[in-house]
Amino acid sequence: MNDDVKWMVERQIPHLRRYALALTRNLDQADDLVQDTLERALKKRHLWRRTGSLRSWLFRILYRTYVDNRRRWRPERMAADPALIDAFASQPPDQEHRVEYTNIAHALDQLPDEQREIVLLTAVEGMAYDEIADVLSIPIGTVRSRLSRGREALRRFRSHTEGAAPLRRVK
Amino acid sequence: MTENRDSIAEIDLLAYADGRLAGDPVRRAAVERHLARDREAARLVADIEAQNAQIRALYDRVLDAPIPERHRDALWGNAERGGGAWMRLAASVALFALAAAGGAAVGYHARDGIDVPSSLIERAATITPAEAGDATFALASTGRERVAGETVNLSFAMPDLSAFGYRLVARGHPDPGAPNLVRFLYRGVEGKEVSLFMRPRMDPGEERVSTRTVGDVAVSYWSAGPVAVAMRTDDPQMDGIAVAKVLKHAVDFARVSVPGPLDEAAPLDGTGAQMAVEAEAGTMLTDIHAGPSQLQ
Repeated sequence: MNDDVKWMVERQIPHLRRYALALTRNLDQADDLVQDTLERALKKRHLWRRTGSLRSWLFRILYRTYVDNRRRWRPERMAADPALIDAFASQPPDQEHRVEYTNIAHALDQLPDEQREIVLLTAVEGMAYDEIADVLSIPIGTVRSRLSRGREALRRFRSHTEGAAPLRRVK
Repeated sequence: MTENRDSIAEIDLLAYADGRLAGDPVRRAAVERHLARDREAARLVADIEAQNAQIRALYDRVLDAPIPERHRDALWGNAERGGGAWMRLAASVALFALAAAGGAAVGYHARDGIDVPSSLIERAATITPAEAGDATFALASTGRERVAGETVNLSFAMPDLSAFGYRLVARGHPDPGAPNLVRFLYRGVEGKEVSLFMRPRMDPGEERVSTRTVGDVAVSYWSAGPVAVAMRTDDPQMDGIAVAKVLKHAVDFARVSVPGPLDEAAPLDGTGAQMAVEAEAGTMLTDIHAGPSQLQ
């Protein structure tokens, strides 16, 4: 891998860390996952032939690394910990926002892995559905159906936890 | 998947809420008409947008955190960091290779009356290296006559094509007679190039990606809010629609300001694009900030 490609890989590290954190809910584990991803990418660099985007290739490696070691990375159900939310929320949360973050973190925890992984790629990374299909190596129809079920489950869960109060936008 | 009387399925609503219809204004308009009539659908979209905003807020801080040293070490080892080859290329303006696959559409075909000036498309196709200008990108002071009221500056982050394997190597005004025309030159790891030509426009809407052939050069063109874009590349795998999405993201977060005396002399830093837009300032501000993507 020449320096130019390494430079572009480095640009993706923050995004890889963000998705890894969303998957593992633990920054140390997320950084271990990214580390393994980078090492795999270097070993498999000959497989990237500019036939797809560099981002998709890296996320595909990260996802497969995560799946291969799912037991190792298994979330500890700590996403709703207020301290974790305070540490990683993009803005210092006041009490109202902390409740919202706690609710959405709890709701994500309830999703089956195959739905949560897709919801996170969509919401956190803003990936197109076809790119998600490429990253996860599944048909795009499966992406859509899992996303639909995941979204609906999140709505139900949040509606349940927030009662009749209308949802409000963070920003 | 539930079809309704307007043939708007749940997946359309999800795609709309996720910003996936940005490149399909016809479908997006159909969804918006549906949302205006169907309160339950509108509630679903609002919920999804709220979900996205909250999930992003939960994890976005990581993007601003320093990259752990061990990650850099895994990537670079003890080698020099920073892509020296790219730095050596940064001031160069290379020959444009002719575009591939003459005339083949990379996206949708244009509808009649598309609001991308023919002159922009022809300029993108016919520019020669001698006209390419230098890599300095300063404000276009001569383009700021106050014709229709206030003149405003539009600033946005440099479109980042690194996800496609391309890095910016030069930028500038290719045409001294058109100070509002700017060009970004990107180069890929295999030496292929992508050139984006942009100029401001008054219509805040969006147009799909289309292709026109001028001579034997194919140019993809589209518009994104206040910017008209033409793209020329010798890489047949570069997808105009994907590039359009990247650019739209950059333009969505554009800053608008009324130029002051300091702006006249201050060159841009290395991370942004800036162009003068002659407009009614209030109108342009409203247009830029009223787009659906600003809800995210």
